[in-house]
Amino acid sequence: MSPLINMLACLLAMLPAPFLWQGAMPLRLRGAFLGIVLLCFECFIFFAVSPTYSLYEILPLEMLAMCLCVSTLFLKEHTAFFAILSQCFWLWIIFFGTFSLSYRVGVSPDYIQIAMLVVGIILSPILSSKKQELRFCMATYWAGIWVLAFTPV
Amino acid sequence: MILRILFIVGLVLCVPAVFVLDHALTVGPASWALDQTTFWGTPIANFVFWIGLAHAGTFFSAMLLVLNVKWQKRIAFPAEISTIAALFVAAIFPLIHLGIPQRFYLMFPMGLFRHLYVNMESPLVWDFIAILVYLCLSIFFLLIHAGSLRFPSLVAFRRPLAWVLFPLVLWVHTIVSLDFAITLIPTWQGAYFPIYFIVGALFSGIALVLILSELEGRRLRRLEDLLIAFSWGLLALWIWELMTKEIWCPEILFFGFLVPQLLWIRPLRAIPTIRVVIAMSVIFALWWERIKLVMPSDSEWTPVDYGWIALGWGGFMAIYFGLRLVTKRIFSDRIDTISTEVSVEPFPKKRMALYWGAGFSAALLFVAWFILRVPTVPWVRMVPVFFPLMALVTGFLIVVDAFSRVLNRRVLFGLLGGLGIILGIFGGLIYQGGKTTFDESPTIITTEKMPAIPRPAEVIWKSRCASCHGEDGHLNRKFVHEFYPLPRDISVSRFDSLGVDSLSKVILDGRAFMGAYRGRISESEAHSLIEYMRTLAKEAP
Repeated sequence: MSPLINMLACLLAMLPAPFLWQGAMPLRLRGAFLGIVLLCFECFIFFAVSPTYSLYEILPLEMLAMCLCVSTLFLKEHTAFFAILSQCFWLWIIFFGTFSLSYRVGVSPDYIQIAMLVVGIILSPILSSKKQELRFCMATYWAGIWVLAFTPV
Repeated sequence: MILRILFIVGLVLCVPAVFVLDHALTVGPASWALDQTTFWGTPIANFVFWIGLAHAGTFFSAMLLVLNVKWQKRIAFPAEISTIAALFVAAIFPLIHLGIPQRFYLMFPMGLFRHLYVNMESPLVWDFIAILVYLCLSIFFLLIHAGSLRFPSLVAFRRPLAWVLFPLVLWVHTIVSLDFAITLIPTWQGAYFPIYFIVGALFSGIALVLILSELEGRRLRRLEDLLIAFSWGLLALWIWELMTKEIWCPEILFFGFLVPQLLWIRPLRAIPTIRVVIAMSVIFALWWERIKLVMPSDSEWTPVDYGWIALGWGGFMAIYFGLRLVTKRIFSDRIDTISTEVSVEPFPKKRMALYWGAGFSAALLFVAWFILRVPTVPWVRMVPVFFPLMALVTGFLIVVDAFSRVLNRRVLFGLLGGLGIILGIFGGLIYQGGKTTFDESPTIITTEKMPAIPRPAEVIWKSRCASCHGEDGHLNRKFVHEFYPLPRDISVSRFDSLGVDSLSKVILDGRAFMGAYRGRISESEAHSLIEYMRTLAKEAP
């Protein structure tokens, strides 16, 4: 995977975030929307990334996790709570994804990314406030986690 | 009335299931369909399916409670009972699959007690611990829920315990997914499996709860919405499976995705029978998906394989409807509404932190103790058991705290003392274990003639020993991943300490999990095999 594709994936993951929880949508419609978003991420990874890339299998799920993280910044209430849950989801995907890969192809978990997500979880109650600047910081931080986690193999 | 009929139907289904169980335990794994690529069969497929169904209770009672979803209280209690029933049913299948159910205790993480090395790198051990903890905490959660009707002060403890169960339920199915994800079977290798399994489990669990609530004449529109929402989530994961592994099962897509879409049509959705049929279609799709996953090649099914269906559903219906009838008789219908009200009084944060801290410390101590005894285990491989142990201690402290409010001190200490004695006896029995020396008459393979001239040791090693011990004597990796009692790595010092005679006895008569080879390997061949093993040990890096 090239750095350009990695950054495009990051942008694409952020794109549907503002619309995920917008308006009063029935639960079934929202579920279908989330499923379609994940399908779009899968299609992007399938066509843009080589299957030999070690983290290939978990990339669409990571994109979804990042999308959920950014989407919490557009929530009107419980922003910090859902930001923590979304980051835990991201952490879960990375840890157990790389854990199974460690058995198969010897990929060890990316401890820097994991540590950054843990820091993000701790900082969420402070940064996920109503202030736009702090919300922007949080979004930048998540983008930073995505970009820094890139390994050119 | 309907509950009583279904309870009887469950008991009736249990009758053929008992015969099937007896036959399966007598004959062993040869009695059911076993996939020749994966070495797993229908018991494991059914186990994964029932564990998935067991997620429903925790999803509706714990997860939605934590997320402040109001309507969960209408279904929480029956869902919790369904979790207990499904977990009991699920626990039967791995015991059957073991082939030696009487030795199940060897999966306990005992370190090097009795010189049996429990393989902490195997997901089968993680599975056992995680499911056991999940079952214990689910029972505690149900007890607090039921007890809260008589003692309203117990309501305050539901949310703290829900916070323990919430990650635990996800952890359990993640561990189940690792049973597949870390093996060497190509179609099973999926780093996305943890999320895939969780979504599948919740999907089937929601379908089950929808059926159970319909049987009691309740309609929850949110359940129908959730069914549609999860069908889309799973569709995305099935398509990802097609893209990465080229696995495509149209029948699963039809029953698991297309049929639930009928719920979009309002007139159809209004008919209870249609709702139940759609939920049953989802359950069938998910069950079939597990069968296809565990047994990718088409194995021929025996009557025993069909018997598992009777065992699963019969056992579930008997336990679930039996418990439901008993609870309805004791508490009437109030249990489904009043007791599930969330406490307005928040649980003290300091006390919560103390319980989590105690759980963390206990789990850390265990991990440190295990790694000190078995330093070859990488610490990261202990993570899957770390959290369940932490959850067990934390949950137990919350429950003790809860019941200390409502029970007389003497009764509480009596209960705790009784529990301590039971655990002590159980722990002692595990520590004592079964006989590790082979004292039964070894199986003599009469069809195989012993060659007149001894065969070269290398040939015997590759044909008989390498499948477990590895060609180079340093373990077969598949074996290390999937089988819990890890065979010992060979080293020169170990050879010298054991001696030729004792090693020869192990080869010929077997020991613990190693089979006997008398009748297939002569004594002189066993001696030459030991010499060959010594050369392998010398070549060790």
